[in-house]
Amino acid sequence: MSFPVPLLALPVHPRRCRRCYYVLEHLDADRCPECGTGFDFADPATYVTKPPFVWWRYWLPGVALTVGLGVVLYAGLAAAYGYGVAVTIVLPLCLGAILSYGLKTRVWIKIIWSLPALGFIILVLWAVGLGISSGQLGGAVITVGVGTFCGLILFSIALLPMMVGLLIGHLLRLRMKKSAWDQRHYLPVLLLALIPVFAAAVEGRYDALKIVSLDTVAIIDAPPDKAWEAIQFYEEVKHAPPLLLRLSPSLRPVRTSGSSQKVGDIKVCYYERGKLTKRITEVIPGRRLAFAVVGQDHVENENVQLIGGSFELEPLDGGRRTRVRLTTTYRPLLAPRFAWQPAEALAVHTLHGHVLEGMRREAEGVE
Amino acid sequence: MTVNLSPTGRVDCRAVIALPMSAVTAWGQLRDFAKYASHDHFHAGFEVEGGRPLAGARLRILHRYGPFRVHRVGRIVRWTEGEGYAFSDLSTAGPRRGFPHVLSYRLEAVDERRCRLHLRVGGRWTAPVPRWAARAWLWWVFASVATRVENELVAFKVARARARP
Repeated sequence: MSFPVPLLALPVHPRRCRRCYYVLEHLDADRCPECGTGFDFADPATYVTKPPFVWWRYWLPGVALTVGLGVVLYAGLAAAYGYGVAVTIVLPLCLGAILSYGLKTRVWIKIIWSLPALGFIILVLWAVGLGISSGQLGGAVITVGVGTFCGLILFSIALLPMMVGLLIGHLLRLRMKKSAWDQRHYLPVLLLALIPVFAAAVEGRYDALKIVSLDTVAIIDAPPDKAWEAIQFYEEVKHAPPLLLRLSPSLRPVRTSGSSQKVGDIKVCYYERGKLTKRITEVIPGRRLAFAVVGQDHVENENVQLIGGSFELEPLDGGRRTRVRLTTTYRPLLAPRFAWQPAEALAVHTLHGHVLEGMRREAEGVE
Repeated sequence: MTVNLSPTGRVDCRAVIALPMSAVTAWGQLRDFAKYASHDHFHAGFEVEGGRPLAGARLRILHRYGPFRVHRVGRIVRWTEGEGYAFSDLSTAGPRRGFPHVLSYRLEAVDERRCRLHLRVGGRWTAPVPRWAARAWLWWVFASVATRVENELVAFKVARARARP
C-alpha cells in the first residue's frame, strides 16, 4: 500500500511550554493555551523539549525489575540446580547488568542502588528459608530459601560479580543509546535474564564434588585418659555456642539420644530443626573415636552432605597434656569452591573450636 | 472498565479514568499523539501524513510482537483540539481482517481541577481463538493501556508540581 503524501515520524521530544510543559506542537496561536506564556519556535529559549523530571521513574522501574527477577531466578534456579557457578556468580553478574541497563543515572548511583537491591533479594530468600528450607524431589535435595549464615555469605559472594555486571550494563546502555534498534528497551534485559537460566541448565547440579576433610587441633592440659572421658559431640557441649552457630535453627541443638561407647552404637542428635544420626565406627580407647553420619535430616542438607568425623588423641609432655585433633569429613554441594570453601571452613572450625573448648573445660575441671 | 466481545466478534472496550487535573492540563499532554497512542504494548511507532496529527491524516503504525514487526495502517478519524482524538488501526490485508479497531481518547471536564478521560476501543475481533481467550487478551491489553495512560498523566502532574518554583 503506498501513500501519496510522505509519512513522517512525529518528534520524540515535542516542544513544550517552558512554564507548564503544555505540548505546543502544531498550535495556531503563539501563547500557551494553559498558562498564557508566549513562545516562538524560532527561539529555543522560549520553550523546552523535555517533560518535568520524575525521579522515581528513573530509578524505580530498574530497581523493581532487578529485585523481582532476582527473587524469581535465585529461588527457581537454586531449587532446580542448587547453588552452583550459575547461581552464585553468573546470576548476580546478570542482575547487576540488568539493574545498570535499566537505570538512567550515573554509575555511582547504580552502585548505591545495587546494595539494597541485592540485600532485599537475599532477605526475601531468607524469609522463604524460614518456612521452607529444603525438600526432596525425585531423590535430589531441592533448595528454596537460604539460612541466615548462607544468606550473608551469598550476599558477600554476589557483590563482586554484581559490580562487574553493573559496569557491563552501563556500557551496554551507552552503546544502545546510540542505536536505532527499536527493541533495545527490553530485549537486552530479556537476554540477560535468560543467560543464568541457560548457564544453570548446562552446568547441572553438583552432587559429586570432591570430599573435604577439615581438622582442628587443640592442646588440653590433662592426661589422655581425662581427655578421652571428656570427649563430647557438639550437641553435648554445655557452654553457649558462638553466634555463628546460633544463626541457623538446624545448628541449635536441643537434645541427644543413644550411646557412643562402642562400635555400632547409634547416637541421634536433635536440633531446633532437623536431626543427625551418627554411628560409631571405630573405638581405640584413649586414642581414637570415629563415627559416620548415617542420617542427615534437614541439617544443612542443601549445602553439605555430612560423611563423618573423628577424635584423635595424642599424649604430650610425658602424658601430662594431650593433643586433640577433631576432624569433620563432608561432601560439599555448593560451587564454585573458591567462593564457598572459606565460609564452610569458618563454620566447621568454629564448631570444632566450640567442641574442643567443651572438652578442655571438662578435662581440666574448668567451670 | 468494561470489555465486551459479542458472539459476532464485535469489540467494545471502555474505561473512564478520573484525573486530578484540569482538562486543559490533561489535553496539554494528550496532544503528544506519538506518546499516548504508543501506550499500547504493541505500538512501536507512528508515522503521520505530513508529520502533523489532524483529522483525516493517514497513519502507518509499526507494531512489534516480540521479535516480529508488522506495519499496519490507519487514519486519525477525529481530532478535536482541547477534547480528544481517535484513530483507526487496520491491517494492510484489508479493513475486515486482522482485528480492525478504533482507539479514542475524549476528555470531559468535571471542574477546574478534575477531569475524566474516556478511553474506548471499538472494532471487530477476527482471530480464530476461543471467545474467552480473546476476551482475556483484550482485557489484559486494554487494562494495561488504561493504567499506563493514567500513570503517565498522574506522574506528570506530580513532577510538574515539584518542578515549578
